[in-house]
Amino acid sequence: MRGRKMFGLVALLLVLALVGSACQREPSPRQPEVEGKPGGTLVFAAEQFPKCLNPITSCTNASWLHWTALLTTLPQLVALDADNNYIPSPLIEEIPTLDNGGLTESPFTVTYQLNPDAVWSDGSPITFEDVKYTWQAIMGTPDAADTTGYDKIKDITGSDGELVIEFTEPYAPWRDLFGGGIDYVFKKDSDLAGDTNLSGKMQEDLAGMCGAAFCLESFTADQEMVLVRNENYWEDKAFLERIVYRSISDSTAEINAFRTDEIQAFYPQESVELAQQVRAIDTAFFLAKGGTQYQGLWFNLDQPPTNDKAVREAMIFALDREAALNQILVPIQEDAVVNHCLMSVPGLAGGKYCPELFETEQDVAKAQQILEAGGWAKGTDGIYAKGGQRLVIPFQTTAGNKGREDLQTIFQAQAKEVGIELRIDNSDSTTLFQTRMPARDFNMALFAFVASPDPSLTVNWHQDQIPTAASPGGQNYYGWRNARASELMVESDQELNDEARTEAIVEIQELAREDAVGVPLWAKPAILVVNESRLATTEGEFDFNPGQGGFSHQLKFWFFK
Amino acid sequence: MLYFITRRLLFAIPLLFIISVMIFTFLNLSTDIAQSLRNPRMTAEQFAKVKEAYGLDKTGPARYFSWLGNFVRGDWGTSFIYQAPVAPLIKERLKNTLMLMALPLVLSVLLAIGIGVFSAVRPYSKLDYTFTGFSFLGISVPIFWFGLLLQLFLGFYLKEWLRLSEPVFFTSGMHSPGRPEFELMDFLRHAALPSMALMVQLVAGWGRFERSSMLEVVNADYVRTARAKGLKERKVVFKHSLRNALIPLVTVVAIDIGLLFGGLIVTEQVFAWPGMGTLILSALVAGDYPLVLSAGMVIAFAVAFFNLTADVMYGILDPRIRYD
Repeated sequence: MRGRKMFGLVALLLVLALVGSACQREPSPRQPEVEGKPGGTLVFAAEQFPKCLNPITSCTNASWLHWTALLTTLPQLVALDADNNYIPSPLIEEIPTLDNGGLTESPFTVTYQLNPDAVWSDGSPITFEDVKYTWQAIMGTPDAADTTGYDKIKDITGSDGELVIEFTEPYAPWRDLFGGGIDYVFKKDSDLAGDTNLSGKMQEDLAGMCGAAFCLESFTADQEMVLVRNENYWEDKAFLERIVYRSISDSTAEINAFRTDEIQAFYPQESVELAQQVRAIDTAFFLAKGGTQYQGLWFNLDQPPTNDKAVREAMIFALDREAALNQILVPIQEDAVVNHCLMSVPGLAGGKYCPELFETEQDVAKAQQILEAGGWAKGTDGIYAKGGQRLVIPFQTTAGNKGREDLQTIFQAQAKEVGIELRIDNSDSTTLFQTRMPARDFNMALFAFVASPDPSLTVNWHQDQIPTAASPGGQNYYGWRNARASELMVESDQELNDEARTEAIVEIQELAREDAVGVPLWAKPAILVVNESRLATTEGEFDFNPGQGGFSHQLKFWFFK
Repeated sequence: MLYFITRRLLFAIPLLFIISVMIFTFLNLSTDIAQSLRNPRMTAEQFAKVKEAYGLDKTGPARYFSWLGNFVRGDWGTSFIYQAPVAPLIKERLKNTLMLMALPLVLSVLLAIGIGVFSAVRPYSKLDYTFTGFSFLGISVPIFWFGLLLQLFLGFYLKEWLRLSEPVFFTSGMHSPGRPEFELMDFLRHAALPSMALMVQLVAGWGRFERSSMLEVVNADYVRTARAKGLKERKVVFKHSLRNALIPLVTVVAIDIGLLFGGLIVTEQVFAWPGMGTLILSALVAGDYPLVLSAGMVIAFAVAFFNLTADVMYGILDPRIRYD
């Protein structure tokens, strides 16, 4: 009896202690502020928490590494704004052009004027030596994930705030080196002491390389990352004192943590259910923007029946993309639009790389006419056939991706109206992208590409990039062989004149449309959710870059009310 | 006894070897770690260079034996995806999993025994039906769904009802943001919900098991004899019946504990608890064989160890058992 009483007392004390502990902190004052107010710790949930921090190796394949640790802590030369336009970062005075003398064509050089106020967090100036070291580290690290462009640099020199990058040949996407989307400048004089082989390093050393609004304080894989305000930042300092990124991979758990105010912001994968749940929360600011990842249907031009151009062309007219968009995407992003180009999105670079080539609507009669002109005849079961073969297109996408699977069902019904049977043949993402696509074991695949603000189409579309047994590394899985387009790709990669480069990229897409290599769908939306009862931004309204930049560059404007 | 334990430990060595070969083979057949290291902009030459840097240009058997040789010498290798040494990674995650498991395991065993004994002693009573109903519910409810409900009701709604500035029970992580140093109250508030989610399934399963085991024993001849001798019911139940009825439960608990070392994948995922489960899952998906193999060895060893512990426990619970 005595024991029971004692147990009851202990249990009661424990409950009181838990409740008391929850009451310790007072709620934050919730008065709206116009001016930014320094202080506070923002807790931001990361769905795909980075596993490592190295900004050179395969760690960089994770977008979340850039959004959390790199874009907010490392300086860049050229940066991207929320609308994916190239803008001068605080590190440089202006973007070099042929007109301002920052570019020379022969030899190809790029000259930057560095901001004399730019310093690392320890007060030492950011100079051309740091940029040179970055180049040497990228080239000197044997498992560097991407040396494209850096391998064309001949030398980097400079003095008194000037930085000159000399190339071995013209390289059009030069703005993406040491900046742009996800490239950076490293500190030469750090704990790494100028080591140019950064393989297996940087896990702790990144903390000593701070040249942006925040500095990395700590990182624990799959748990959390802490950033602190850079008090030595030469530009306007951030308002938030700390940002804690917390790993929460389940989106429903993210919503629950948001409701309890354990997190104040998150950047979830798009889903209709999530959009509905978040919109129902009074304190949630919800913003969905068309990103730079664009979905499409991509044909294998060598596998029957999609090796028949009539079949591909008929598929373009068989689909009611607008209806599918309204069902799948509009509930998430009200202003979502159908994409009419194959290799970019309208919301990127002012839409200049996205010509309106697919302004098609569903036209069942036209699709049937194309098939019949191609020698197909409708069978008694309502499905076309040719030479005894029914028109059945195996249709691949990533198994388990509900949005894509729903879309497959919609397209199945639409294609059936024409007389084309789509047979679902999905695989998990690892098998699809790592095994089936490189082996070209697909017919019509539904997946997303990432569009660049300064695109290079060679790796994905050049005819020499078709993977073969002898050369399995190519990524033209579709088997698109077009000599003129391939020639234009090489030209556009070296073209420094913006107008001529744009023309070449548009012409490549016109050729792709003629060959009917795919059907564009729409840009995949990116979503930002912020607790607007607690947070505000000096920019007026929360915004973000729905592409490579994510929410990172805007965080320095956020503050607690 | 010592001979028995030594013999069992020696038997574990070939077992661990076979398990490691199986894991490596399945992993090698189902995933390609090289692809997860690949950047879309990488040329074929760059990709070949990266593969060489990680030793992935070697054949499967060469990679396996290289790993095995190093593992035996105490070098567990470097994880491809975490780009960090494997041993400290596993040590850290194992510690987190143990911190999550420890209290729920002890409480679950005690509750399961209590429920099992009560249900068996008063079978088909109202309380027995109630326990049975809850047990079936606990076994059938998907843990992720139950976890999300706990977050909603004990995390969010409780905070709202009590008008608190922060929840009594946190819904994610194992400590408050930016406060990694261990504080008991903070830890308990983070561990409470995942522990409840874990306990519901363990208590439900083990409780049913103990009930049926106890039902068999309470009707045995020697228990009837004990009662006939005029022993008090409490003594009959707890000294004569329970001790024998615990033997099957010990086996189940031992196996379950060993398996729990592999992590509580769903619980960890829902409550953002950085344990072995999420570690192994990430490594499996990417085909990170140094990490999966080493973690596999730890789990296999834990299973073997707890099975051995169960065998030793049999002798303690039933002195008639001999280790010849």
